[in-house]
Amino acid sequence: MKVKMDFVSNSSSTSFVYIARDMLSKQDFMAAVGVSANSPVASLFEDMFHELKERIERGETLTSVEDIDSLKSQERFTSEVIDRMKKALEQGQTVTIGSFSSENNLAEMTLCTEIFEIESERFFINAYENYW
Amino acid sequence: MSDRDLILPTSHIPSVEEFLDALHIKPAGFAAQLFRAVYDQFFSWSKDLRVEYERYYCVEYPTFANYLELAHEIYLEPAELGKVYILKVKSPGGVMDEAYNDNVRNTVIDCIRKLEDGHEG
Repeated sequence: MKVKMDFVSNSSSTSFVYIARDMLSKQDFMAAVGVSANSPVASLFEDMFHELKERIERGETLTSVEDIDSLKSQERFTSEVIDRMKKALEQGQTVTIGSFSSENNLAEMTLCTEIFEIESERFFINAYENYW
Repeated sequence: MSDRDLILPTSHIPSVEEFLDALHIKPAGFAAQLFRAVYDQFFSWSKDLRVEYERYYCVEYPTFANYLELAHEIYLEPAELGKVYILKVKSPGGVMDEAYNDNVRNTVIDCIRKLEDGHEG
């Protein structure tokens, strides 16, 4: 069990988008972030994978351009990312938006507070809103 | 000194490439983004107290050990005191934040120690 031992101020939640044909796999995630399985910090990224997968599963799947255009959180994504979401739908990919919280554990706090984009042949994740 | 500050005595400052390689992290990508920031906390944004002493405080305090003890309440073993750099890292955060019990601070320090040993060996 992972325990947060101290008070962490300025809690926040931030948005991300996951675009892919399939659900994220650990192997793909580890390869895309650039960390080896034998890395001494591999467990941190494995935890991030599990958090991310859970957040994708709990996320909102967008199935049409109208869904994207009517997003309340649209301002949380850049115009390039919005265009990419629409193009992904045309190509038959799944577009899921979700959120990270800084409240829960180290892995999710890190995902919540980093500005990042991860791209591989199999998936695309954008979390540019995560300024801190 | 704040309880959250970290003191790292070391005789070798690795390059960022060496640091990432020791952690088995590729030089580009999200893992590198995170751990370049960790590297910066240790080696770019830290303060070398030996330099501070020699530059500003060597008249005021007769010895470096004296300066560390009286000015910073830092008490080092002789072997640590003999290291080239005595780095003061201000409140390490992010993945090294001790508010989380699974933080990677000690893992990273172990890695820095191994690089130092390899460099000396």
